[in-house]
Amino acid sequence: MANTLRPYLTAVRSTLSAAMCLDNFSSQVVERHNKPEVEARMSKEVLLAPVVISRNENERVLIEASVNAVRVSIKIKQADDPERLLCHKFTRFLTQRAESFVVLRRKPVEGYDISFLITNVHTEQMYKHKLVDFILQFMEDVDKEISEMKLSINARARIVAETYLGQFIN
Amino acid sequence: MASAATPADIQQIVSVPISAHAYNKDRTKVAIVPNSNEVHIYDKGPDGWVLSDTLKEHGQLVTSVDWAPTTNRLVTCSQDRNAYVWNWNATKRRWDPDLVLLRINRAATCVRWSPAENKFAVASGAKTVSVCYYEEENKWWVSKHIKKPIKSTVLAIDWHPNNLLLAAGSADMTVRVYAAYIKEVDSKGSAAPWAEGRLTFAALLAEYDTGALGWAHSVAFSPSGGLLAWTSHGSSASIADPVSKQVETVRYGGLPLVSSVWLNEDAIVAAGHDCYPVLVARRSGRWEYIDKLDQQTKRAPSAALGSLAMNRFRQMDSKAQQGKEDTDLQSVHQNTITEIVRLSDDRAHVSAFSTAGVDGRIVRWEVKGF
Amino acid sequence: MSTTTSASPNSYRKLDVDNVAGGGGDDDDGGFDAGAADAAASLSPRELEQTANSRLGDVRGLITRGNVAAAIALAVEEPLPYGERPDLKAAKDLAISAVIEPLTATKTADIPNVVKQLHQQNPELLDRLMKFVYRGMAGSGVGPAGVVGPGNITGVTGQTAAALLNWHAAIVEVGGVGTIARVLTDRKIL
Repeated sequence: MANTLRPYLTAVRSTLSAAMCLDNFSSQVVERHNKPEVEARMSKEVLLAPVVISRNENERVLIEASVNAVRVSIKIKQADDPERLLCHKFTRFLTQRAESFVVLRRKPVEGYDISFLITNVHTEQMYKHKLVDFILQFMEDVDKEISEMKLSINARARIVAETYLGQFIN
Repeated sequence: MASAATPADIQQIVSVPISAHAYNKDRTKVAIVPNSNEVHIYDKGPDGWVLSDTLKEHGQLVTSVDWAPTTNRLVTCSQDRNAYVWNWNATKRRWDPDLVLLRINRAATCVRWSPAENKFAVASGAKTVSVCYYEEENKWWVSKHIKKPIKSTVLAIDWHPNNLLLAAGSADMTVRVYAAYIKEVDSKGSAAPWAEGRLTFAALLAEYDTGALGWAHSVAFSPSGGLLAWTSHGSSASIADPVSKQVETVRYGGLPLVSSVWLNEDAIVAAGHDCYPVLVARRSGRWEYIDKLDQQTKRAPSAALGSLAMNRFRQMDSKAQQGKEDTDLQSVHQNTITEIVRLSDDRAHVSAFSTAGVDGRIVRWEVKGF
Repeated sequence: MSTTTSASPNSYRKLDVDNVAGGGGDDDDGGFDAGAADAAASLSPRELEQTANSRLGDVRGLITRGNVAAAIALAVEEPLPYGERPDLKAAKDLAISAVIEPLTATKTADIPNVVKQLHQQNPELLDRLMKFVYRGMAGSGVGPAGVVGPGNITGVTGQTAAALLNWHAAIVEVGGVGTIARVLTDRKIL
């Protein structure tokens, strides 16, 4: 299935570029407040239709846009139990340090493994196309890291088993 | 027909986004909002723009500023629910603010002087448009509200050249034309072809539903006032004709446009999230998307030659990116354009316009081929 | 609007304030009515299901004859079962299959040609097709916010997703990111 990676990332890139057209929008509900409307969800008319981009049953990206913020949620490929555990630990590690990531959300949206919240403040401070690059790079790197970690776990398990059982051989 | 517009003057004024900008009558001064609660006025010097005044009165982000050319007054509105009219005090050499009684309880989003400069309109998140005029006896600016049937934040407004009609585009997917005739300051006039007979304040003259195309980001009357154009978030521009009751919609393949200006009766230039101005014009009776007006120059790749091919393939494979590893965009503006302003006095023959963007640049464009 | 006599004196704690006072008391009209768009659909679920059924039959016929472009153009035509009402589910499944089948039936090499054909016929067809591409990727049995969980059975198979991603790229190639922007602003939910 490696040949779906490129179209998958291209589709995510173009959808994110379209969804990241954000504006400074003051809250209609509370005076002098400015909230990310995709999180507050208090005015239905400023929310856009959510879209899903899937590579297969296990990998998908949900993009929910609004007038001043966009929420990107990623479901990471987890084929078996070690991968599920690794994914859980890895995303927990990242989300506990969400402040350094700036655009990371501390809690993923239900049904997904990790979420980003990009607001108009971020698109004013940073280039939009670089933000999109960051998210795509992230998607790729997470998959790579989890595979590497799984391989190293298996390797360690093998070494441990050999060493332990080796002492019973005379 | 315009074939292109050349960026005649590119100025990196500030390093923060410019939320709004407005010029004085002879374009020797520009008022910009550097994404804060202040308004900065720059004078045109020999080497570029020089900061001359800072207007500090608002408590929160100033969302819009407009400069009345003849009366030389500034009006600013902000997310702190206030608007101020600024008069130049020649003796003290400073701008003096005059409070405006807007009576809104949400943020103001856009403010525009009327063509005769005797009133101005403020769009707000209170689902209202406040039309303000000067009351001589108390020496303050008072407002009348247009409320019905606006159901959401008003994002953009534009005055008809006859000083009596107002178009409002809002987030409830509708564009409306209202009569903004104020008997205290206005003399009667004709509102054809939008309305016949007497005009009462806040009378709804026309209502257009943008439907599936989303919020109306900008509205603009044509130079004669006979047509109304608006741009929506669904990457489209629409032009309405009240006589034939037709609305022509142009859908294009770029990102949404947030600000627009008519160049003449047959052409509109607009700009937005694509970071370059585009031209929408009427050819053989039909409105169509013509082209972008920014003739982007290709820049030479900056990476070392040996790693260039390797980098490019790696990028194509992993990030699905065809381009060079370059942060800069090829357009003149490096980020979203927030506002387009006409730079010619004659509405019907605009030969130059100015764009300001989130990259802190102000660019003066000269239109070729008209 | 009232819990008249209640057993405990603290029953006010269970009252939902947002439902009692319609938020923003000064406005009589209140805010934007999001449901108005859905309510305007004039056809009943039964009629929509029948339309979708007959359309699916026609579409399958066109596919077997090899005319994929016409099949797609027919499948994305109005009326379509928009809205979130549960009784529309049957009609929706039929309508979505009517579009997905020609998409998966086309060979990868033919996709750019079919897209160009549709674009020349009517540029709006690409917008509607893009909406179906996203809907197809969301999969069947998908709950709110695109969540696939124990209550909702499947997402989308790898093969369908691969075909849909190819179509997505081809449509963006011809129609630009504007087609995606229009899918986002179109609030009618399929």
